[in-house]
Amino acid sequence: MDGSPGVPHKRVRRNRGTRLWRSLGDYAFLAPAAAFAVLFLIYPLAYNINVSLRDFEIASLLGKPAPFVGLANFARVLDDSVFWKALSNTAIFTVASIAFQFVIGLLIALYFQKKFFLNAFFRAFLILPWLIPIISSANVFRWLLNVNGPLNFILIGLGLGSEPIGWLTDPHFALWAVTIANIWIGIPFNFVLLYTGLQGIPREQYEAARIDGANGWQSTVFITLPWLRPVIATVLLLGTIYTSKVFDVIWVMTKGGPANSSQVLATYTYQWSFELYHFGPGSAAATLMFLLIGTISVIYIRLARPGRAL
Amino acid sequence: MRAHRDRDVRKVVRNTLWTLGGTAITAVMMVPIYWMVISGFMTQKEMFHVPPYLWPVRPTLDVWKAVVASLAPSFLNSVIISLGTMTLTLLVAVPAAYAVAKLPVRGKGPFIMTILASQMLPAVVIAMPLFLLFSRFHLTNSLLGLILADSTFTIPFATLVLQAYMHNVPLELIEAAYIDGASKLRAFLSVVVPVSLPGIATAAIFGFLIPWGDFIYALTMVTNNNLQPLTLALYQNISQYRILWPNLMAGSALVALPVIIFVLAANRFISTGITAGAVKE
Repeated sequence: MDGSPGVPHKRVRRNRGTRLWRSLGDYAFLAPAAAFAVLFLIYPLAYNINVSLRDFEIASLLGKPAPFVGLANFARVLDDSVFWKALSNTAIFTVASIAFQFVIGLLIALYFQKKFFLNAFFRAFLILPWLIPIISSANVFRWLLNVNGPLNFILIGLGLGSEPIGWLTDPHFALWAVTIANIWIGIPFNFVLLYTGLQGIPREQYEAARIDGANGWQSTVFITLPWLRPVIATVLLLGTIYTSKVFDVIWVMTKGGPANSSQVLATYTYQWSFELYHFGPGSAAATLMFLLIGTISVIYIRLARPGRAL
Repeated sequence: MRAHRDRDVRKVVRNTLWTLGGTAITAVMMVPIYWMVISGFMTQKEMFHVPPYLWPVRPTLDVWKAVVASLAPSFLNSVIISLGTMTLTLLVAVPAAYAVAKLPVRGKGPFIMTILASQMLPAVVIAMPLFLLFSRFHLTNSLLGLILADSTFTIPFATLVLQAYMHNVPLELIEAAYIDGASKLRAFLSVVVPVSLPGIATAAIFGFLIPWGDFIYALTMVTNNNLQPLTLALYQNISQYRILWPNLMAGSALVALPVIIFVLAANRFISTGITAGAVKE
């Protein structure tokens, strides 16, 4: 206990009582969070898994017993074509969102490395899309992407189409509509992390490179990107995790429709439990979703940081 | 002499050009927010005008007044939920972060794993069991229930951000406090907390802003109209019948307004906070 990191040697008469008190005191700091984690994270997850193995309907809330049905709920979900549609939509939605968010965020972050007048002023605004309540952003895009709204006006005006697109009403476009909104919302997250990462690169690196005759491009590729690798890895990992969970944007804009064309795992799961009140399959779908995200994260972390014990 | 002046002029020109570019980038990113705000000043017909108005032609406060009236009852609910979540989050996460960063506590590893894993938990995974759990304890349709639900995200998030900050508190400062006879709690309160204040400020900000924008937990757990937070009120009341776009935009703007004001004022803490939590580990 004494001498280990964080606990200095205490110049006090040491006996067993003090030692016990000291270690108990340490745990007191962690106790509330640990209790919270058990009550509101672990227990719900376990409960979720339990319900997924049972025939649990709304009546079960009032005490009707919920018989154990093994993996029947899982089978029901995996048999549902909408589940697979939601899965593929989630993949498309996530990959497309992250690709655009990351590239745009990186470009803006690179641009703002330059010291110019009002730089800090603008950066304050640039974080707004991410922090504004998502329902507000989603509503704005409902309008911007309205069949009679501004985006169609611009597209037609630029000659990029002759007919207004029913972004939210046409099954071919609904997923892209919510993706567009999600990209806008997620750019600041990428921007802020990448910007700060870029700020952390020592200027001497660029000096040395310039002396060696490197031009702008070469500096970027051979200095900036390698230095940014850890930040990029983190941004992509967190971005993937957060994006695959997205619910609000899609629910407010399309509710997963029309005809399940913008259904994702989060909305799919929600509908099972809170619209159909079939908690069994709902929990099964939710469990599958969690396992999926967890697996991808583990794979990703293993790939990005080889040799790091998990 | 002339060479100096030429260089200065070129510097100013370059600076101005970069600033213009920065203005363009920011302006494009702000378009949706801008549109949201000006639409509140228009009528439904004006919004659908072709070509779209870039500025309210006949600004009217009618829509804003109507929306304020319909959202006002929910404002207090949102404030209570957000303040409550923020408080609970700080009370739980700050000591926990200290324990993780500095104290020799056993079980740290599993605890951190749980925290990290919780970031991967979709809200629906938690919403369903919480809904069922709260039903048993009559916590559905209660502000406390929402506070607890929102905290399932903010507490892990704040813990991650704060433990990164607290790693950097110099050991000597804490030891000095112990040598002066301070108890563990005293050392924590008078040394660690003040030094970590920027991190705590960030945790507080997110602890408030995240519940302010929460939608899914409110959607799942609140059916009593009196207890609706702003997000739910916006979702239900305004879009009930044919969509009144100016009202929807004005309502969205109002719900976003406190965030906008706050972010512009407290920008520094937010940027550093996100980075500390995400990059360090």
